[in-house]
Amino acid sequence: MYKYNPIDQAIVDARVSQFSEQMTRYLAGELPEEQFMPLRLQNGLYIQRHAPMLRVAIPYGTLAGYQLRHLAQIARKYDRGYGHFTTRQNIQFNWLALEQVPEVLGELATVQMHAIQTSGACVRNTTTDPLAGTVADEAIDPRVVCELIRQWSTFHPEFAYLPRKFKIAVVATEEDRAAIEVHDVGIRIKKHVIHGLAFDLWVGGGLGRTPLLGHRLLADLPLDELRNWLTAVLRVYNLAGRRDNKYKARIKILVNAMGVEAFREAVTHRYLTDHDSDLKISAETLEDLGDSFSCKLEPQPIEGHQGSLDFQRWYRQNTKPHRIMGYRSVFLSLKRPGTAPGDVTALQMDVIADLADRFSQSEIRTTHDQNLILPHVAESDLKELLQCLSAHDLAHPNLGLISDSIACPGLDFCSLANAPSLSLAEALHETFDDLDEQVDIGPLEVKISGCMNACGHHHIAHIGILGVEKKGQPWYQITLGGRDQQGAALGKRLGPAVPHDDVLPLIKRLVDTYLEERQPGEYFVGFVDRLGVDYLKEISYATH
Amino acid sequence: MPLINSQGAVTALSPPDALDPTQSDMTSVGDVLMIAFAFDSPVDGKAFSAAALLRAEGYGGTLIGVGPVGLDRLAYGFRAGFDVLELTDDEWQQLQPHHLSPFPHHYQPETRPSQPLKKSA
Ligand code: HEM
Ligand code: SF4
Repeated sequence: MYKYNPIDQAIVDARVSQFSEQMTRYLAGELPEEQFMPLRLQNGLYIQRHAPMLRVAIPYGTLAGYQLRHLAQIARKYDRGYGHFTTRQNIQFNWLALEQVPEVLGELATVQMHAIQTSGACVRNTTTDPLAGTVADEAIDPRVVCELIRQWSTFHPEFAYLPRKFKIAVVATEEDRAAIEVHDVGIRIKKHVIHGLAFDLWVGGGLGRTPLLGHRLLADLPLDELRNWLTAVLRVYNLAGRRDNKYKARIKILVNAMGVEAFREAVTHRYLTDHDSDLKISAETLEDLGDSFSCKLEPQPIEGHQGSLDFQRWYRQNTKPHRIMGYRSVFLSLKRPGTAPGDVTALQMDVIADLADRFSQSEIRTTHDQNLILPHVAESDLKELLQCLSAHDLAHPNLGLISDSIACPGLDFCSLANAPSLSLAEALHETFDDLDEQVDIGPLEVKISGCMNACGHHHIAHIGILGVEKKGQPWYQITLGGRDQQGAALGKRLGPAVPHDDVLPLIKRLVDTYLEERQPGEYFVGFVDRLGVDYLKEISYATH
Repeated sequence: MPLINSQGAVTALSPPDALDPTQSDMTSVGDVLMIAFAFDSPVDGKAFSAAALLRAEGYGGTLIGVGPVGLDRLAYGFRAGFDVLELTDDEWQQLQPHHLSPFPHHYQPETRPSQPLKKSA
């Protein structure tokens, strides 16, 4: 894992003092709210429904055991004993006291963590493949590139006050496990005959009010020029992006307004005229960073998955192959009945940290569907690991199944919400309470957002649920057929919104129809593609 | 804030009106001794890029930032290539050395500095 050098540490420490001083001025009335707001947001601090919420960065979703253990301490000491993993691979604390935030940031800095740029109109935490470093077909560990972007974008003097937030995602495999097409910028790294390593640059994707898939702006660019190209994209955006209307301020709106061709021309022009040789990425840098992320594992004999039925089910559903023989990546589902998606107690954090130290090279990953991964577990340790996980409610074998849904905090916590999200996630567990039935249904992604800001990513769900307000009451709009992988697509609206208690019966009718009418080997999303939304609309609303 | 140079008053320009990101800028402003860019609000950051790209292209004149820059953005402004930034009287009273340099290191390369204020013919 990447470890801070003295420069990284000095910068994070300086940030803690800077923010303490800003907070002191704010509390003393010397810093107007209007000026404090961007400063607190760039430190991940929101004012929420109940209390300030602090979002802590987990760069590219990689955590060490000692870091998670410290997050547990923070949850106990300053919050109500739990934390909430988000869809952008970060963690949030929902119950902090405003005055304590500088102290919390000080504690985080002791374990190389921070809340820098986790909110606000700046370049946010770069997200990536949660299986980085464990899969065989990577061009490079994408976290190497994410770390370069982290450094380049941290306190960038030009790009801290952009028109709007800016999210970058990076993958280095054919399969896209980071949804690059729905980010402001998506980067796909690949091996290249001339450049060694090259990248394709996607621009202008995003969810929210105006969901759009990105455009592949440029392809086959040499990787060492990445930071010069990113600078060019951000310069054009910073100068020409709209600031008069925050709903029209994302780069996707600019790209569409200018047209992709004109945008490409502007970016290329800036790249050529402003090129800075200091931004070139050297081969040594790539190699050094590569070493810091690589994890030396000795191949082990393959154990297979013989064992109890429970073990087999968990093995099939919640573990994935590893590039090194005899290892698996183990997913910890944070979607259990009775718990809000993504919530983990301080005790569970401690347990996971211990298990990571014992069984997974001290590494933990967070995923954009709000689960955790122990990425490097020897097959011979799996049975013992499962016992420990089961004892702490971390072995629910529903990964990728209908109850493994994403939900934003919704009306329970968020001041922008139209409708609750968490109660629907719970209702999924209740309606589909038989795991065998869930396995029979197969891969099915349900994603729930409490308003059109789309923190729950409902647009890219096989079944998307969006909270809307109708005559002061929460209602829900359903979309079908969205997905975030290659061939990404936005879901299509099924029909009129329905009240809370009709959502699950409607989903049940859809799923039952799928079970009756599916063709051999056909997944739910393929079934939607084949039959079309209009046909399914008739069935879903049949009883209305 | 009125600004003055030896030819008379200077108006602050609000990027991007002043700069078209698709065009080369030095042809239009390369000979100008001094340019002032406006920050339209405490969250407007266009001027940072306007300054930085002129410096990237080798602009050597004086760059001035006016409007609600704020103590907490001074360091960004100077690093982006400004020579002079506006503060309110209150901010001037509160100004501490760490506002000019909150961080001991930077991940980004330096922008090219301006030349001393002089011009040949
Ligand atoms: C061998 C694998 C296991 C590991 C590595 C493990 C790890 C841990 C750790 C580190 C704690 C202390 C956390 C803290 O106090 O901050 C803990 C507490 C606990 N564990 Fe486990 N555990 C394992 C298996 C089990 C089993 C098999 C059970 C019972 C069926 C169990 C039940 C508990 C209980 C009841 C607590 C205390 C909870 C509390 O303090 O509220 N654990 N475990
Ligand atoms: S989608 Fe809306 S309700 Fe949900 S967390 Fe985001 S802003 Fe809040």
